[in-house]
Amino acid sequence: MKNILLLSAACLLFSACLKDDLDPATLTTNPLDLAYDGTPLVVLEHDTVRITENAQGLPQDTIFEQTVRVRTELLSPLTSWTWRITDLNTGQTWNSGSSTSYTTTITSPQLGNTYCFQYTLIVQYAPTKPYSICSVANL
Amino acid sequence: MHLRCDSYGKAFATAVWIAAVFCVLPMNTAQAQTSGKLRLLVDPGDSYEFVVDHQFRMQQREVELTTGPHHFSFWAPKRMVVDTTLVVEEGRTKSVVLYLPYSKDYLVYQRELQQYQRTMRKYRVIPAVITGGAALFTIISYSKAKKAHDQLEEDRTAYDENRSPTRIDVLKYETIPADKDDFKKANTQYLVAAGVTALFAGATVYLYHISGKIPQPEFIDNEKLRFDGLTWVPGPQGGTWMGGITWNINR
Repeated sequence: MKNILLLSAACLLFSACLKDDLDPATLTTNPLDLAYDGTPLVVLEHDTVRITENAQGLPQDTIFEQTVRVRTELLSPLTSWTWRITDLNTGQTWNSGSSTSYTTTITSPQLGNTYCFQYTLIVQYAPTKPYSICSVANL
Repeated sequence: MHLRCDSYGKAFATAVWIAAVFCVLPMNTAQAQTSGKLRLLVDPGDSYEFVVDHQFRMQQREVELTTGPHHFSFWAPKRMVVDTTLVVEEGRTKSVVLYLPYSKDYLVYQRELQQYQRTMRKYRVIPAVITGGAALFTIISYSKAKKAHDQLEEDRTAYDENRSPTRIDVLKYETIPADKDDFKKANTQYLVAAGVTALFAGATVYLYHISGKIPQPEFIDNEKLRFDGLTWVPGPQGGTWMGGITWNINR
């Protein structure tokens, strides 16, 4: 009787301790979370400065292009998004389609200047973590 | 206290036998025509015994005797010995209804037994029931705490699998804190319940131990000793004469 009671009490006390080790502040692994701190979801593909020509083959204009892409392997297969781009130099913001990559273009850039853009994926009408990517306009 | 005198008993039994053969039996034969019957309706009906004329111990419902008065001593387990004289009438069967009252010793034993059972209930049953209830409450509390814990695990899985930033925000800043609060409350309740159960269990063990030292009342049927002392009881080695003296030192 005594042993049974002691054993059952000990079992109740020690074998079933439950711990709460879930801290919302440490939840940063979902790429769609604003607090995501894993591998960047948006990365720079390439940045170029090119000179356009007119019909006579003469130099017409200089164009700066910055191409970024979404690392789709980090997202669930059915995730869809749209782009929101902010020019950090001017503060201008615009939205774009749902392609995997996106190219920002600036006509007649100041060569040697740094152009920074903030890319945000909009998923189900809500923004994800923004990524700022800067490039120097060099020929 | 019993007096056993085997050698004297045997000699006396032999003498009684010779007297019966030469004196009593011829008389019985002469008087056989003047007999009657007694039908005994005694409560309790299944276990009573009686001694007729301080000599013959019997256990039957009907007895045939010579006419005239006969002394009867009735007895049954837990009952008093009742002495009475019954008159047998010639050629008739008389029914005798008799209730054997419970013996004083048995009534005292019953009272002591009830007191003992009440004490045992107080020392064993009630604490055990309370401990059982506390254990049940602990199990229920644990179940709630486990459920709340499982909900947190589900929240973690939901965070990993969610494809909506809005829902992730709601999950992180509303759902999970609320679920954590629920878990904290349930876990606290469980730990308190487990502690209380352990205390009750300890108290139950202690009371169980204490109550084990209380002696259980024992019934000694002194009326049986008195009844057995009324007659000669044959044994495997022949016979013994038994006498009984009862002195209750409690009163």
